[in-house]
Amino acid sequence: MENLINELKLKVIDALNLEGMTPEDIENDAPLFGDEGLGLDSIDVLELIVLLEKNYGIRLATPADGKKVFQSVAVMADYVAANRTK
Amino acid sequence: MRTVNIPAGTSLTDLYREHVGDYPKFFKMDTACKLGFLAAELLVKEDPDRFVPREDRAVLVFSRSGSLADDRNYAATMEDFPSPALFVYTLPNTVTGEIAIRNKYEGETSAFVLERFDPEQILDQIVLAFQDRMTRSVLALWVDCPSDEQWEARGWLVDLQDLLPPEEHHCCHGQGGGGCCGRHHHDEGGEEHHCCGHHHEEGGEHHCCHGEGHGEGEHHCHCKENNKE
Repeated sequence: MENLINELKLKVIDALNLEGMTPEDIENDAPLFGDEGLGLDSIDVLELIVLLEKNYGIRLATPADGKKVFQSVAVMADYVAANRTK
Repeated sequence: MRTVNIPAGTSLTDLYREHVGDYPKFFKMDTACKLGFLAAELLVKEDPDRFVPREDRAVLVFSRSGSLADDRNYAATMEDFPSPALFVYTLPNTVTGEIAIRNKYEGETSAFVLERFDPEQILDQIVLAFQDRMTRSVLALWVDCPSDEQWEARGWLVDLQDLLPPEEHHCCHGQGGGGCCGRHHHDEGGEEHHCCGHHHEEGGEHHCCHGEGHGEGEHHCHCKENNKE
């Protein structure tokens, strides 16, 4: 699981152009959205949805599902591990 | 008036790190927005009361290519997974939005696509922007970005007084001799004077009006130089 978490952190940094940020800068359980944590926005949610489909074959039914899946990198990793098709 | 020019070949990331450094959203912007954002930062970074919301500064952005580079970049992703992050920049006016959000500007914003770099047309639009009685400063940028590698950016920060001849700022009231500067309120000798902002020259005279608003009769005032009623 730790490998998947690190992999996700790298993909998030790449997909969202978080230049200068390293996986160590992202806490496993830190919120991805809102004022705390990474402070991502609604466009970033869409980009993360694309990331899941492209890399893991996971299609979220609605962007609203992203709220649950993208709570933190750790939650994201659990979801990917349980639902990935590739 | 302040001016800025970002020469072709400049590393935008280096420029950001040298002059800004505290706005990570910069890295998510497209090239046109990075250029406009940096040009604006260089123009306004010395402003007093920076980041205090204001409605009196307009943002005008001019280009020849509009969002062409982003349109192409986005179209390329449509063959695989269309990128939402690229899609949001496929409009020429996103530059004005990024600048307004960063600086808390709540006034006029406009984007113009011109056939070529045309200083006269740009100046015309700057002058027009001042006609709304709210705008007292215009941040105007030429940001042309036909591709991510080929671009040019220059900018001008123009205040209203930059466009007015100095002698039009000072006129004296027919009664009491209170100062009148075109838009400011003055309280001299316990009496408040309100100038309506319209300085129509009629035979050397300028109209301005007294009291609260425009309701207490119109008075003529004229340039101190002329010193005639």
